[in-house]
Amino acid sequence: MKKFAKLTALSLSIALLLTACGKSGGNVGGSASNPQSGNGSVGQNTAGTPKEMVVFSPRLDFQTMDVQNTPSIVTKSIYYLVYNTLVEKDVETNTVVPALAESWTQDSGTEITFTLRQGVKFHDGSDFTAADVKFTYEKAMESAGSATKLASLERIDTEGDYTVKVTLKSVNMDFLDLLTDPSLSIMSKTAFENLGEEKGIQQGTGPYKYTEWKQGSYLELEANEDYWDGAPVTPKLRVQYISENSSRLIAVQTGELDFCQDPPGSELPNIAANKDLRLITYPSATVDFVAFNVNEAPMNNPDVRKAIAYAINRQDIIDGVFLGNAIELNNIMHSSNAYYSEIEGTEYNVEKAKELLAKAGYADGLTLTLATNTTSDSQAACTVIQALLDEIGITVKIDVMENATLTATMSAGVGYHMCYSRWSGYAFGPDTGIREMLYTGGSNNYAHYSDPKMDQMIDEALTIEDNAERMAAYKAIEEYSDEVMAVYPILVENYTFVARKSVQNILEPNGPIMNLREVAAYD
Amino acid sequence: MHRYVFKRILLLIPIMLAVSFVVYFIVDLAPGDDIDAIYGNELTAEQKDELREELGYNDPLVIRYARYMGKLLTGDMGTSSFYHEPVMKLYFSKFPATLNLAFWGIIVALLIAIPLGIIAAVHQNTLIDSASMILGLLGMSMPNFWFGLMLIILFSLTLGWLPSFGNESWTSVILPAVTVGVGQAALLIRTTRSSMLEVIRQDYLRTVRAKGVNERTVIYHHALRNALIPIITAAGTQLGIALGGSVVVESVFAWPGVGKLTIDAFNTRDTTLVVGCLILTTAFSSILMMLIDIIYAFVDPRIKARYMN
Repeated sequence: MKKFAKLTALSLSIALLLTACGKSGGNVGGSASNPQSGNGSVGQNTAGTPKEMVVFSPRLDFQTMDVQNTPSIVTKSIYYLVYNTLVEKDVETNTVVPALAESWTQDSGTEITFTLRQGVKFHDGSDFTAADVKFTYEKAMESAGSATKLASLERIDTEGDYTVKVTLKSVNMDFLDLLTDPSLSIMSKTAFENLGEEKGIQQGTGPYKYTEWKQGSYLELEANEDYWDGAPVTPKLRVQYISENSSRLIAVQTGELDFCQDPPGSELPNIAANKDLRLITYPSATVDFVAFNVNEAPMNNPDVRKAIAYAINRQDIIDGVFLGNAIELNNIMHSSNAYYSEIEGTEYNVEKAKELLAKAGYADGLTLTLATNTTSDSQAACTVIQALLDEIGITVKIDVMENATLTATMSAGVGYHMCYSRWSGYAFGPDTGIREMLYTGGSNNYAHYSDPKMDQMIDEALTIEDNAERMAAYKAIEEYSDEVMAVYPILVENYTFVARKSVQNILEPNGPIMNLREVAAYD
Repeated sequence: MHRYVFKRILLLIPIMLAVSFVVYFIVDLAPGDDIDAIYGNELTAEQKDELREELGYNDPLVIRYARYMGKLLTGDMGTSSFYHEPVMKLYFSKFPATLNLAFWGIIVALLIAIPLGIIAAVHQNTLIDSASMILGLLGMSMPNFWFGLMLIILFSLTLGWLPSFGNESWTSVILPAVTVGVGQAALLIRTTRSSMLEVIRQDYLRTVRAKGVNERTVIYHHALRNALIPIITAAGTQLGIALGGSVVVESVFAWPGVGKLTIDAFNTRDTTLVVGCLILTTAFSSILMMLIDIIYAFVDPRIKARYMN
């Protein structure tokens, strides 16, 4: 597929050129604005009738209706349309706000009492009550895909129909954040009993309801006219699966799609120059990083790790590989997290890199392996790193593996010095992500780093009740992580949407979760 | 003759057994499994191991294979770990689209190949001959990824005549079928040409010509008919391959077929689905090959003769 990429770029350029020449009145590429400057809700008039059906194509296919058992963020973004969670995240203020729970009180570090919204109905007509919350969370505790999120949950008690009391095993200040994960969307106990599991699971309280699913082609949603927060503007939403990013872009150009996610990166300038299209960018939820496998000498030497970090120029990767469509990241934590704070980090400094390498006893250089997967971005990024490390005398052998092989290799922790990988760096709350990356035995700990001090810091930060103190604790963890340099965070790629000019209100995503609740197109 | 058919059908059993074992074995060799894929970030290594033990992933290969085949005989190919749906259901929801595309693809290929092949043969070693060969070669050399996009750009974007993706109306199949067909045509042009050349030199054609039959009838009636058998075989083989689904074409046109399903299953490490797709695809291709062999036997007197006594 890789050799096709260039051909695609070529043919798309021709396509964009053709449409530009055909339609615009001599304004080709002239006053094009900066391709990064799009925004969903800027400068649009809402006059006119909304289109009956808005069709969009995400990056990946809608996976399953099994709400509690999928890690797929595209799928979770659909759940965000069909269901509600007890509490939600407000992206602007970066705080947890009421949803199905109208309010809550934190009685102690381990006890929270939720007061539920009254008069909310599920799509099948059943009433939303405390029993549904208890049912949903108890089901989640049993399901493999969600159990870890509720690992700290001891017990749920209902008091009447609209009060739920949650008791935790230990203090977990991330608990409310975890509840905003669409995997923990509230499902209807009554619907499960009356309609059976398969139909029951499809009944949410959200602004849209499922109508038709043609697996591998499209999923159709219909507006829930009785939605408690006001019915959505667009009567029908269709989620169309087109796996090829170039095909997706063309379908937006032809008008068959109203908008799509992730067009080919090389086409961004052309999209900006096309007067029918609009580019909308948000930072994505993924973090690209290099992990140093401390199992393999000499990566157990912090000086070597640090030297490599100093020798990598993030900007070179951003410009060379992502054509500027990414932002630098110094932290393990994603920059959109509420507990993110700027740290000094390890900046590009060849002199320091050479110095540290000499100190470690490798002044004459050494040879290291860098494992990565087959995606062209990863391979290109590795090539940039290879060239950069060559400058400090490190010869890098890039080991390209099929993704499954790579994950297995990285999990086993044998046979590579470094790996370039990407993870969905946005977690619900600050703890999960850092724990997965740096805690002993963490599921994404591809550095195989194990450090009692780090573990203790992570455990403690989870239980700090004072917000400012907690903030400081996570900053300390980030600084310590930068010091020991087991994982070198590199960048966050931008999330891009291409929309026809008629499309409005593609709102800022909540981390990985797209917010399409208010999306509309006006003819 | 029945003996031949029977023998041919019987041959399917060892083929399927061998294929299923090889598929199962190779997929097993690949590192990582669906548990890693689904619960990559959600579960720790120990929890994953527990789950593997529980699901019998740690049993010896042969035992797992036997268990799989046992279930297979009852029509149960397991559940896709990615889609959480039975493999059979997933596969058969996609198979009609693939069959549809394979069928129209081969029709397009034949529509291109037979006329070009005949022209090339009739005008052997002339400019026309070389031109048709080059045309065929061009069809095969063009990456169908690129060719598909070019068709979309012309017919969907610029002219606005045909849909650029999906499978919702009869017009949807045109662009993907042309993409598939043009790619397949090259081999068929060659087959048609050489098969025609062989026939054209036969004595009976000289006799026909000597009787004063016009050239058109000679070529289309007497020569082409006899040249068709190898062409049908080649087309059948192409169709068999196409039944596996064209990953590239299905991706470009968002055509919901089994090729896409299989490759997606690979990418998500949905091993149950991978094994299921490969076995079912092989089964269909083998059955098709068998049918072709049988038809061939009926058409070709030489094969028939061998089994007569």
